[in-house]
Amino acid sequence: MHVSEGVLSPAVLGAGAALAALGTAVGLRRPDYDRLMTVALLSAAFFVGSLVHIPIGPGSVHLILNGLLGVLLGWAAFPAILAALVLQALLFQYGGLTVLGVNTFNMAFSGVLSAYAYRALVRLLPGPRGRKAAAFCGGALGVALAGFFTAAALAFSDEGFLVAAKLLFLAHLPVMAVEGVITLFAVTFIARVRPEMLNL
Amino acid sequence: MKIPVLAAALLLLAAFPSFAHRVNIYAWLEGDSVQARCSFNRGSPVRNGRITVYAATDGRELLNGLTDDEGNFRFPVPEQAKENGLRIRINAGEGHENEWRMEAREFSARETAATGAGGAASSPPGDGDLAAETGTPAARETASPQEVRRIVSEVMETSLAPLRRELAALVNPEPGPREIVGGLGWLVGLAGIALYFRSRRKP
Repeated sequence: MHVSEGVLSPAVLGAGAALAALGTAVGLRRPDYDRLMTVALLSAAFFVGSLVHIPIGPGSVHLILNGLLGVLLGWAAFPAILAALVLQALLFQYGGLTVLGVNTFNMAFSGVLSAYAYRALVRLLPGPRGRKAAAFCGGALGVALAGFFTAAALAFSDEGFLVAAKLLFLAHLPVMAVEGVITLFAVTFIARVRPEMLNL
Repeated sequence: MKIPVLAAALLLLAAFPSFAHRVNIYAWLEGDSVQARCSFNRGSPVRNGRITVYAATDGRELLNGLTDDEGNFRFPVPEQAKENGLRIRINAGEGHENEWRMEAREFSARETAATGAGGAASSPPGDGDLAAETGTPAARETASPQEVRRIVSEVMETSLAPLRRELAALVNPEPGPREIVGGLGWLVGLAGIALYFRSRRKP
């Protein structure tokens, strides 16, 4: 879901950069130094996750993990994803430096939104089972929303929004399932060993 | 209602079978045409990717087309290529694009080589004519310079094909352990630097 360089119009690139800067500023507003290593480790997970190809389904897609980062980090997912995307652009040539803002916003903001969805669901369905269901939804929603935002960015270039959105959504259905399960296990594990980490 | 939608979705998926994160393009001159090969990461070919060829200097669109099932696209060298060079752009859909540039001198170099060879070959024909006049049978059996050039370039292309594939893989490298470990080191290092400054501020 990394948009390449030279695809989007300057207006979309500028808007993406501004929104990404805003989100990163919010994420860095109250730096919690005790959680800094957690942020770095999850950023590393995002960085490596893009290399994990999922051979299920029609295409070759890769893990995104933005839902997991959102649920565990909240707004701090913005700086984490920004740092990982910079390194992916420089070292893997995925995406690019000019589209960095758009890609950061697409992945990180969808992660933040799925974090809010996760918290709402946990409040709605208390108990360990509700937490599991909420974690699965948070992980899957992150991917779905990232596809939605990517399609929206592409809609302002040559491809139509509906076609792009449908394609991205269908191709990422297996990723959504896999990431839902990953987030479920991660949240269940953290709830057991370090429950204070989940109270953002 | 549902079945047509599903069928349309499957059709669309068949048209775009891969959604990797980077699309690679590698193009080279082969005889009088340009051959472009497009692939996603892990070497899966770009099927039905849209190729657009531009003049590199003024950005005029020269031609376009779709890649075949092996991700290949072949087109004759356009006239403008010799002065302007080419910019070959692949659009694999979903925001995956990449391009390959070919300099004008690549085309002109080939042209001068061809005329140079023609000139060199056209001076011996003096002997050939002489031989033909004297009726030596060897002279009649030798192939014309054009034929020799065609045969040599055919043989060259077939023996160069594996090299081209290797070269394409080198031009578009897959991320390896070096990049991965490097990236992880950067992330941990950044966090370490932040913690270091934090610890200095705290008495």
